Amino acid sequence: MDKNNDAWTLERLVLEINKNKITDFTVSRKEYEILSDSVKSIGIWHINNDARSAAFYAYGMSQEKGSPAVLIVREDELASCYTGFTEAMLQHVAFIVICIQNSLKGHRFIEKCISNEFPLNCGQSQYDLDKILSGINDFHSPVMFDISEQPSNTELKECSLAFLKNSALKSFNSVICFDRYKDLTVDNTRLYSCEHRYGVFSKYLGFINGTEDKACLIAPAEFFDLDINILNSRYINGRFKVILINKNGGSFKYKNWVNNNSIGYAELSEDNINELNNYLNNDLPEIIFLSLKEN
Amino acid sequence: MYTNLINVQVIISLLKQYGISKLVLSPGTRNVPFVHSVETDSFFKCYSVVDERSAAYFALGLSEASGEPVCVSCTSSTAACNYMPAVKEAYEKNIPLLVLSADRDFHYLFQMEDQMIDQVDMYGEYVNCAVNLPIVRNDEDRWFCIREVNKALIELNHRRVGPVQINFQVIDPKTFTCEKLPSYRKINLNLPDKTDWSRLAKALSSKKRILVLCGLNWENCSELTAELEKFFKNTNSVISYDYFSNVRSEYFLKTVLVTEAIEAEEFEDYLPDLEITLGSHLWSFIKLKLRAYHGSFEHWSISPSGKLEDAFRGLTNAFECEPHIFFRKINECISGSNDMAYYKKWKERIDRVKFPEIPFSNFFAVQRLMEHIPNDSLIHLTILNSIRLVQFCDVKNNIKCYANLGADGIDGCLSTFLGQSADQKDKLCFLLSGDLSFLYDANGMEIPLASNQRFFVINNFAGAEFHKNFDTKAIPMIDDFIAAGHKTKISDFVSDLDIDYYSASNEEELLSGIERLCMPNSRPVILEIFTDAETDAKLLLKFYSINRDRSLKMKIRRAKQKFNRGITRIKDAVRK
Repeated sequence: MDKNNDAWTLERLVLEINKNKITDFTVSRKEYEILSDSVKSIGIWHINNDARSAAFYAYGMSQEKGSPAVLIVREDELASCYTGFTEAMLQHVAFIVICIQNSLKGHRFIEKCISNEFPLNCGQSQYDLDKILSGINDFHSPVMFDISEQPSNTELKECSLAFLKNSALKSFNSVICFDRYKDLTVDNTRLYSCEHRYGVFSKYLGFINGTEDKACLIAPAEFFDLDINILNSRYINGRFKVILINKNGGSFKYKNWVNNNSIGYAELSEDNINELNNYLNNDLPEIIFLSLKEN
Repeated sequence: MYTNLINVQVIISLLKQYGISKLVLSPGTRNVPFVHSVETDSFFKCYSVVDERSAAYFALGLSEASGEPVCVSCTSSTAACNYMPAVKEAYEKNIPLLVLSADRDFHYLFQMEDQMIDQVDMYGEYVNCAVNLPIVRNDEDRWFCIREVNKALIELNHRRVGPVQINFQVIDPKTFTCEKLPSYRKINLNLPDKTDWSRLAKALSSKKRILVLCGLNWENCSELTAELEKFFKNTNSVISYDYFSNVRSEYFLKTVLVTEAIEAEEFEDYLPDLEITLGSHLWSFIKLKLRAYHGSFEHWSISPSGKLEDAFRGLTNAFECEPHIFFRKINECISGSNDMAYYKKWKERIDRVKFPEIPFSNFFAVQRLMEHIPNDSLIHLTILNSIRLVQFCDVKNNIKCYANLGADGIDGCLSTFLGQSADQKDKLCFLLSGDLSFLYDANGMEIPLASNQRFFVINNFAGAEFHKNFDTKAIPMIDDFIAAGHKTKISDFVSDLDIDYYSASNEEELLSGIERLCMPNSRPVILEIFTDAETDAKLLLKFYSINRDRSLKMKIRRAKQKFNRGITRIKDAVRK
């Protein structure tokens, strides 16, 4: 029985799991960055921002090693893990899922692929964690532990796009943007929540195919990593205009992929922002990688 | 050319009728019957996206921009899992996303079948509706698919706009020899403030034979009765009621008097061209007669929940409203008169109903009780014989009747009655029960009883229903397990209770007991009537028998129908 009355945090659970000689942890960059250095020094950390890929990764590793890996996901990513969990279940491969929840709501669909779920976020746990962890392989399918969300200081920071408001964006019927971005006072701005970071480009592509209007997408550059394959599409046309906002420094990894799909690519910054209009006003599909100054 | 798979044909036909033309297709073998059928149909605008997760997001964007529902289609197994993130988002953002997940024959689930998972209801709480279509192997499967697809498509934007899933099983993905897509029946769900009542009133005026079947109802009875009377006067209709519809009028007919007895062949003469059903449940065996002619008449149903009850395979319109509101709206628009032809046909048949000589039996006992039950009483009838027998009697208009006909269980009839009568101190409340129903729920008598409660228990020491349904010559041991015969008297049980007890084994005792039952008393009263199960059953069967049409005309019709059924079976076998 769990005799410690303290709430289960991610760090505490990771340490507990590691005590049972489980060493491989798959996690998104965001969760990795909030871990303390002492936890990061435990085990081997595999970073994969796409939860779907991460779930398959954890399953594959567990299968090959014969010992369970750990997948750490947020509640809102469970939907993307559905397919990886299902494959693991059908192949009788056990691995550990730590689900960081911001609600106590269950998810009925997960019962199709996770038959062993241990909520550790409802007060004092009744589970003998040592016993469960030492016998994970006996479950023959993914095992999920639910913990509550902890406050994080790496929430997506808001930033201002005021410098864009006099650009050619004004001529667009719709500007699809995310709620992280402020001051973009262009008419017909459609704001999406940053919670919906998967499929952003697929959705945008569907949008421009459902209307004759001009629509531009402004999205965080890191969201592109989650929807790369959509560029392999018959439906990208001259109205495809995407601005990727880069606030983290670094460069765009997929220039060749973009070019090989006959999409124009440009790198701009706030200093040469006046060139933006050239790309927005032409008849070619464009991806503009726009780097902002760090605050 | 279209696939030969009927469940897929139903989907395509109804997509067209519901105006859903945008399809985002992901490749795979299981959904080829759908994909190839739609890619050659110019009605549809198809898009190809390989990654199902991206495909579903693409569909979300398409739907947001166009304002229309968009359909996504994939093959079986984890392909359908990949729709989950977009389905969840569609649910949260009220986007009408239609998921068509192809599946394999369910018999093979978890039986080493490749590329197969449990896809039924796989999106959990994140869809408005999830349906599962079998491979169509017979008429029942076809009927099921038609109503399930209609149900799913309606739920795209019924109570809330959001995603739905249609999971459909596929065999033989390669055959496309259907040149012309059949048109499968669309069911319209009508909301009262969005309905063109004038158009409906016009449609009703053109009908020659409207049969309104009033099922279980206990709300707005007087208003409903008044509106039904108006409707009857303005249309060529027959309003059929039984005592549980709690609507009664000199203009209405108790068709149950006829329909329990007659055979399906005779019922052909009484078929409507439009049937309208209302009430939470219809128990009468008229259902079985109507089912025998399914598809040969149109059906409208009225229900506050808007449920699609396609019991007769001809439902074209469902109305989500209270019945009295439906008829009020129609009556405001309709002008016409009843030519009485259909009414007279039914009336004449009802007037020909004969009763055999009724010896002392459950039937006899029920008739006597109904003759004496005071005005404004409440009566609860237990499943099943009590219900049937009361319908064959005359019950005063101001008697309110209840029965647990929602699920037809004997398990809680007594407790239900105690609940119904607990707050009715100013009227007498009667429970008319069989012995098994009473004893089953005897625990309910633990609740303090009230002086206005009256218990009329017919004890024939078995489930008499089984004596009626089964030939006791063929099953001489029927009382061992089937009819659960016993030797218990109710007096043995109630002797511990604060209740006045009487019993009757003959007519004189019965009448005396009924008199005590129907008068005020300081304690509740119970009357136990002892009859014989076999006698009771035979009497009912005799009542049915003498009311069947045994004319030559019916014999010929019976033979013809049997011949036609045989031809249909041969044709189906040849087709297979």
